[in-house]
Amino acid sequence: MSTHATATGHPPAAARAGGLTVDGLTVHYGSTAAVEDLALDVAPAETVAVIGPSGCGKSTTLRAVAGLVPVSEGEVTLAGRDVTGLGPARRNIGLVPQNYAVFPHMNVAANIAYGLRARGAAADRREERVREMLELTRLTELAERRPDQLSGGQRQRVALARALAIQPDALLLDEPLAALDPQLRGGLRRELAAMLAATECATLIVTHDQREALALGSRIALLREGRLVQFDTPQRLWDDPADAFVADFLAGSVLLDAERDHGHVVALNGRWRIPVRDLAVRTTGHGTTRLLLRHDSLTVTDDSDESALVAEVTHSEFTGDAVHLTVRAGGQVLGVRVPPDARIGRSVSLAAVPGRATLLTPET
Amino acid sequence: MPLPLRAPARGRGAAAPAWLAALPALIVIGLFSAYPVAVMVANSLGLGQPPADGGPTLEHYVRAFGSATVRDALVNSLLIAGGAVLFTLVVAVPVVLRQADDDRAGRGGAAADALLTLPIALPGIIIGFFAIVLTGRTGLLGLAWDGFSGLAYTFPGLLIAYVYFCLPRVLGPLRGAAATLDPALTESARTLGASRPRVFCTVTLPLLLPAAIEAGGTAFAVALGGYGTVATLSEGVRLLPLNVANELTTGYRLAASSTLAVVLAAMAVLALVLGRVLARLVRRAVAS
Repeated sequence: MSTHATATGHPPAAARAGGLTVDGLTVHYGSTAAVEDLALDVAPAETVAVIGPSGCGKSTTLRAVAGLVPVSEGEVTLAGRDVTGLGPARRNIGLVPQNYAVFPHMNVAANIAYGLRARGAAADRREERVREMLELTRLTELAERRPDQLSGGQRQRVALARALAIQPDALLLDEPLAALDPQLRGGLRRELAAMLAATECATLIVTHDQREALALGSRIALLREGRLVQFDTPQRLWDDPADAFVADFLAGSVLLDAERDHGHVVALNGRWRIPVRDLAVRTTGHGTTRLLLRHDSLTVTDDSDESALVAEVTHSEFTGDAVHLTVRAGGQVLGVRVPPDARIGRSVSLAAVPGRATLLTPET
Repeated sequence: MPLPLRAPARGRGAAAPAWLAALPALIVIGLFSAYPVAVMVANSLGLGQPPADGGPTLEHYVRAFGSATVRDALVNSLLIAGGAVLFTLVVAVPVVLRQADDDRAGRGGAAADALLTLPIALPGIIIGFFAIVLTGRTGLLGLAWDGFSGLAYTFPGLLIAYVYFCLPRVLGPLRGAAATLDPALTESARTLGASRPRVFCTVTLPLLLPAAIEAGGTAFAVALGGYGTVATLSEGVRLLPLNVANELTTGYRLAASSTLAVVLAAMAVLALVLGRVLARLVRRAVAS
């Protein structure tokens, strides 16, 4: 099982020529490894989202690429240069930290010009570049403003403009939307996606929010406990998760081991037999036969035929248009959505909604 | 019915004016810095008790500023306090930046903190004694190099002793300011291509400067009034607090002593106010 699969549809050689490549990256904090043997690549103009639960090593990965933490093993290649041993000032990287770190003692234009000044760019070139960046991030009106007069979203754009002004080989965004009001995130996410699409550099986004990852990443690297679990396009992660953790973390889905038995699929140690005709069948690149259940894959049924799964209701939650039931069957916790007016007892019979549950079968 | 009963009680509590809680502090401040200061100022202007003072006059001030010893002591006081504060700031900034890093990483021991804060608890006389032990005529450092021998009694020696005296008074407030500096600011500046010295000059220092000026003003005021250290070390260099004490102990010249004390207090207050005003101006200048 190749969970360390790199690029599907992106030949690594092409990525190596430009963009960002991380190979065998290991970072230690004291004696504990925060990141272990991580490999990923970002092509020029591509956006890769690194996602995982807190403490999975995603922020450490970003800091290692930026040169802000020492690397124990492995290498970081940027636009064909090995930058592993270089300090952050010499990597040509644009960093947008989680809290944006806009310099509070400089106005918007001076913030954007900071990297250009540090590089000793000529004044006219600097002014021109700052003007371009102000336009790109729609901050022209606010050029003279001080950071404390800006909203969170505007500060984010300043940080982005400042990072892009130096024409970096790679752009790194650490939890770009986490510091913003949840109500604003949707709009700002689309705005950010549009601005990233206009840039030419390899972009790495670190996030713990699966919606952000799915919306912004052309590929997603999922980390757990410092290791890469799966690195693929959002569609393939969604359709063919490498394991139950990926399914749960990215899509809130359940992945069950299953076996085919003539016209049926058997799961949960034989407690559940589902006719194959009720299932969508897809091939998987990740080993064994498994059943992928999403929140809309199951329904409560009155028939207690052999294809029904009897489950115990442990929790029910009203979500407005539906009631979300948490049920337990054969040691497995599942989610079921039922209409808000459904009468639910302590125990329910479950059936797969035809075509909504997916059977993943290995390629033969 | 506990609820309706509790609500009016809370309303009554809110009605009490907030300054009521500050009253004890106001009483202490009023007692100590209003009446005695008024007496001191009155003495210096010839408005004290009739047998000693004969009516309003500026004679004491004229005589004080006319005296070469007083003028020398005044200049020395300003130079020592100012120089010590400047040196202290220069050595304190790297320390507080390091402490902020350590605090964030959860490192750093109470032992180092205690050692750096120690001088604040020591009487000036003890600090003077330390200086003699190290750089007196038979001091430890004098054994290593003859140039250190007797340094304690000279202007540079006094300056070093006062740096030690000022250190905790600057480190304390400056540490708070350094702790609020977001490390992401310097990290971002680094990734933008700025060298470490450049980051220090363009990001760290401008953001730390207002707090440094304010802490410097306070430390200057405290150093100005410091008596013990110079009392222990005064051979060649005389500072103003010595003159204040001398006027009292030799001949009980209350008016002359009060006059110098008023000058000293006025300079200290000026330093404090100036520190605060400058800090605010710099904060505004740095932010624009």
